This record gives sequence, C-alpha cells and structure tokens, in this order.
Amino acid sequence: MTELVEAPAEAPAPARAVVIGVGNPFRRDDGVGPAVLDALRGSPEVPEGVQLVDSDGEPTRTILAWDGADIAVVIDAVHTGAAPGTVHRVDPDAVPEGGRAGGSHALGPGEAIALGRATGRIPRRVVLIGVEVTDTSMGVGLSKGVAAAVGPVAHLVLHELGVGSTEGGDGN
Amino acid sequence: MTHRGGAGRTIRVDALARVEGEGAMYVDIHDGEVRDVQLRIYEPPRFFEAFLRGRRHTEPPDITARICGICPVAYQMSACQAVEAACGVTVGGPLRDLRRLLYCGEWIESHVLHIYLLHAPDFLGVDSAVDLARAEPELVQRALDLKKVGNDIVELIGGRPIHPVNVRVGGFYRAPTRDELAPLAARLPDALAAAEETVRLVASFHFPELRRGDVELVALRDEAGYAMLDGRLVSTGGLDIGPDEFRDHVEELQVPHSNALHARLRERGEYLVGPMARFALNHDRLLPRAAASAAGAGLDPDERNPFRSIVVRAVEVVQALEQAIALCEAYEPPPEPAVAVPPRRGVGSGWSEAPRGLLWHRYELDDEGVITEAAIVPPTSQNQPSIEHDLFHLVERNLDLDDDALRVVCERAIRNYDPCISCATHFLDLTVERS
Repeated sequence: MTELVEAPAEAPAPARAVVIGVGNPFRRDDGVGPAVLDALRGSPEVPEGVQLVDSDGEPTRTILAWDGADIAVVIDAVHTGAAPGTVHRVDPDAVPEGGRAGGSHALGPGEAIALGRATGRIPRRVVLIGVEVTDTSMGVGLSKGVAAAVGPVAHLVLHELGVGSTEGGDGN
Repeated sequence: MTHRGGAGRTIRVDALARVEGEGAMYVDIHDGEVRDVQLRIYEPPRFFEAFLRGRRHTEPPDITARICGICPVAYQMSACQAVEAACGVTVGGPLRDLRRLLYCGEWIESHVLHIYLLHAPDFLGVDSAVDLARAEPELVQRALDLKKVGNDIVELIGGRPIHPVNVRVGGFYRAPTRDELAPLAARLPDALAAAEETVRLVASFHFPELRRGDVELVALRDEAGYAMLDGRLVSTGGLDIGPDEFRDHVEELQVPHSNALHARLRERGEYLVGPMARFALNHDRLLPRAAASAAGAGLDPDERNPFRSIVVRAVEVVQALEQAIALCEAYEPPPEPAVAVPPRRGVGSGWSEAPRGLLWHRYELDDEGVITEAAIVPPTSQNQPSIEHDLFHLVERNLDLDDDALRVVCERAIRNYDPCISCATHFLDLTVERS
C-alpha cells in the first residue's frame, strides 16, 4: 500500500468507504461486528480514509455513518440456524425490512436500507456481511466458532474494499 | 400467531414493533374483566452491577456506556458524578458546561429518533418509519438532519458518536478548542428552527384520551436551568432530596414476572420519571424559545396525558439546542481537560436526567478505589409499574377490540414511555389470555 503512483490530474475522486460494525460487545457473540473493526484497526492493509464505525445498529445511526460514502460494508450478527461463525454475504435487496430475519437487532440493516433508499441517503454500493452467532447472553468474549470467523471476515471486508485476499473469507 | 383451545386463548406476537429492547407483555382477561397486566423487561443493569465489582473507580464511565446504545452519555454522566462524589471531588465550571453540551447532543439524538421514527408513525397512520419515509420523505430528512446535529455534538465532545471514549471520571481526555466547536455551533441555529417546526408538527397530532392525574411525577430540578446533568430530586408530591438519600425514599422490589426490579416511592407507591415529569417540575426553567414552543403547542405544565409526551420531547429538543447554542457561545476551553480524582474509601451516588428520565448510580470504593458494590437504577424500571397501570386501564377500556387491535393499543401506550431497553438484542412477546 506504500507504492507511490502519481495520479493524473483528471483522476476521479477516490471512492469514500465506510465499514460499520454492528453489535454490543457486552452481549458476547453479538459483539462480532465491533470485533472485526478492532481487527481492521490493527491492519496496515486498510486503505487510508476508510472510516471504521462502531454501531448499535440503530438505523438512523447507520444512515448517518454511510451518508456521503460510495461504498458501505456492514458487519452484523445473524441467526439463521447455520453453524456458529458461518459467514453470510447478504444481498441488500433480500434483507427484510424489519431486519429481524437478517440481523439480531430490532431495528436493523433492513430498516436502514429501506430508510436510506426512501430518503436517497444510501451509498451506491452496500455490502452486508452476516456472521452466524450462537450466544448473545450478557457477558464479554466471543464463542469459539465466532471468534474464529473474525479474521476471515476482516479479509472479506478488505476484499470488498478492493484490497487484500479473500482467503478464508467466503464462508457462505 | 393464535393458539386456541381449552378454557382460554393465547395470542403470541413475536415482537413489539418500534420498541427498542427486549421483554414481553402479558395480559390476562377473565370473564370480560382484566385480571392482570404484566410487562416483563430484561434489565441489563443487573448484569453490569455485578460486572463492575472489582473494577477500578475509573472504569464505570466506559463500562456503563455500553448498557444503552441510545443513551450512553446519560450512563457516563451519572457514573462519573457518583464516583466523583465517592472521592469527594466536584467537577464544575467549564468542565461541567462541556458535560452539559455533550448531554444536549444525546437528548437531541435520542428524542429525535423517538419522535420521528418510533412514535410519529402512530399518529400519522403509517406502520413504520420506512412507510413514513415513503409517504413524507421531507419529515424523515428533517429527522436525519436534526439527529445528525446531536450525533455530531456527541462525536466532537465525546470522541465518537456511540459509546463516547473521551469521557472520564473528572472530565475529559481532551477538551475541544473554540475553533473546533465553531463549525458545529454555526449549524445549531438552523437545527433550532427545525426543532421548533417539529413542535408545531407533533402538537397538531390527535391524542387519545388518557389522564394520569393520580401518579406522582419525579424529576431533577437544577438551579442552573432545565434539569439535565444534576440537581435535587423533587416531585409533585413534595419530595426534595439529594442523591445520597435516594434509597431512603425509593425502594426497589423484585416482582415474580420480570427480572427488572420495580421501583416505588416508599409508602407512596408508583411514580413516573421522564419528559412529562421533567416538564411538570421544570417548565419555569425553559429557555425563551423552548418556553415559546411549549406555549404555542398548548402544553399545560400539569400535562398528564402520556400520549402527549411526544410534544414534551419535541420541546426538549428545542431546549437542548437553545442550551447548546448558549454553551457554545460562552465556551472557553477549560485549563485542564479533567480534574484529578484520586481514589479513596467511600460511597458516592450520582444522577442525571437521561432522555427517558432519572438515572441513578451508586458506588462503594475501597482504599485503592476498587469498586466493592455498584447499583444502577435506570428510568425504565422506575416507570414500569406506571406503564403497567396505563396498560391495565387501556385494556379495560378496549375489551371489545380483537387481539390484533388490542395489541396495537398496547404498543402505542408502551411507546409513550420510549422504554430504554435497547441494550442490545431484543424481542418483545405479547401474550393475551382470555378466558
């Protein structure tokens, strides 16, 4: 990422990107989104200018976080019955409005996407990554399967941002 | 989903729309009479009280901020003030003003979210915020813009918009410069106008009849202005106490149907905290434009209809913006971003007015400042008996409705209180038993 290339004068503005990690680290596996952000904070591969935003998933917060961005990657805990740690790349068009079938948050990404569309405040590209969780009781720390998914999901995020490899990242 | 069989029937609804949090509601109707209404709320503070024991006295602001994604600042401010009281330190002057400014940001964010996205759909005949955005996109645009101002205040002073990291016992890690505050301050007058427009909008709504003339209203009252950061706790029943006396006057009871403790005034019973109580006890302290908005909306200081709490919230957004403008104008960076709070053995209580009402913290520290006991009483556990009371009367008056319609009535009543149970993953089941 340190290679210096002189940009041509007419180069388009670089895409503005935001990565939103949804969840509460005090609800064990629910904290997987913020845990991925923590992993990315330690990564030299994250392109400069990419915003990393912790969120409780409240939809207007999501909209304000991605307002003005060209691409948003949202990482949320999901519960579909798959094995803990399974990574789902969710089609934003397929997310139900209530958000419940996709994310674990009462007002979830579904509402944020629908609200964003209705108000025109949504990035050109939204990528939703769901991580299958199992234990969302009060407490800290991710269960084993979910913790093991953090690294691969971070890779997947980097891939979506156009950097890094997809190694182990596509568990869908 | 409806199950029928035997003597009664049970209606189970998997989630209560537009109430953040998790819990369940149970209604028991027998021979056409309401026998029982129970609201079950899972209450995270209980977990956090245990989690805090053994932690250093500097940790409560960061840890308790995680209790609620919507009102982390309230948790931080009550926590800081309780720890500071235990250590015999008072934080005043510009640091106190900065705390107030941060708190204004949270009131704006929280109230705007509730007014437009959670509560207004009830009054505008749409099912959800998304439907509202489709039907009247300009309203939701206004909500987003207003909320952004609140977010940006919290981000600038708190370090980030959620779970602010710049707050610490004694003050802040870093205080903004006047120049850093200026671009934000420049946006506040437009936001204030939008907030006044919000009051006019919600005042035009049609409100169901409900009067809670019986219930005691409890809120802080602060000589420095409309209560927010601290003050004495007063009530319509003559209560007037400091934070150390809270337990002498308020008891928390375990009820079989909920893991949330129910708070009651000793020998007096249920009481109500939150916007309606604040307004009743602080209306004379509103800043001029907020006072004018309240008058224009026809708000009676003795307003007792919980459905009109949306109007009070809207007036409080005006108040918070007006207050923020004044604080920004007067702002001079503090000489130091925090005062020292050396640990000592002691007990301290602190409180503040969270958007949903009084939030009280109490900590016991040992010689090294390690927490040996923590207690947190959030607004929702204080209001829970009163919410059940409202629901009881509403169900009684609407027995002729079918279960779906009854559910809608109950959901609306619960949303009047904006119950703060948003503390993570959340589902609310509604069960109606008729026999």
